[in-house]
Amino acid sequence: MIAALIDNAVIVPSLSSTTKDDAIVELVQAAADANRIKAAHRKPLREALFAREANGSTGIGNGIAVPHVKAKQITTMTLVLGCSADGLPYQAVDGRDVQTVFMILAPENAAEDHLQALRWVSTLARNADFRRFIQTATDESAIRELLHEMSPS
Amino acid sequence: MSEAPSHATTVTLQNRNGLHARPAHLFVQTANRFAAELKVNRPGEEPVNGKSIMGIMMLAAEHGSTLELVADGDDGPEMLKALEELVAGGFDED
Repeated sequence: MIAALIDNAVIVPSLSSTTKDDAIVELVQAAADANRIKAAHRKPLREALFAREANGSTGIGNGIAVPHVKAKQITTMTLVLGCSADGLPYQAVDGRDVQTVFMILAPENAAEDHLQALRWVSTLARNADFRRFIQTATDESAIRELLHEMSPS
Repeated sequence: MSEAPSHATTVTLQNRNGLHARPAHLFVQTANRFAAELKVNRPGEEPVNGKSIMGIMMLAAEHGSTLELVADGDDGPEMLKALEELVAGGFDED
């Protein structure tokens, strides 16, 4: 499941956004550009992601955020990964800016897979060597290779 | 079980930033062009798998660090030569 999520991931190695809201918009747009979601679904998904953030930031600390949503508009669980070298103000739990955004878009009926993906990301986030790599990586294929290395076997 | 021939060399990181993401990826990509196994360690420390990005990141090797490379396999000498050239060239970074 995680291996397929990585293969299918949309990776934005260098976000142009400088705010949390803009980064969410940019990543949802990237998912639409890559045909993972329909263009018409960008707006409801953005709104659901903003609503989730308003409920409590998904910035889990150490420069990592995990905005996530389960929605009927999504057919296949998708990871949209964005990297910001300069960092984004994100109201994260530790107050630090976020360099790495793991957006997870999940279908409504995928509760178990969704939880498994969130658990995987939180494992990655706790790994200092992983963070040192992802926060300086600029190459999409290098990021994908590392994620595969870090997928549960 | 047949004993694969073992080859070793020592390199010193010349590039300004040490083994951050891009050079670590280049190092692993180069190592993976060869069949031999590769272990890498800082002097006196435990070796890591030199064909794994996470292995290389775990070294936390900075500019000026010395690394010991041990290759096990028939194409070990060619692998070590390619890695020595990559490191000596500063990963084409500067």
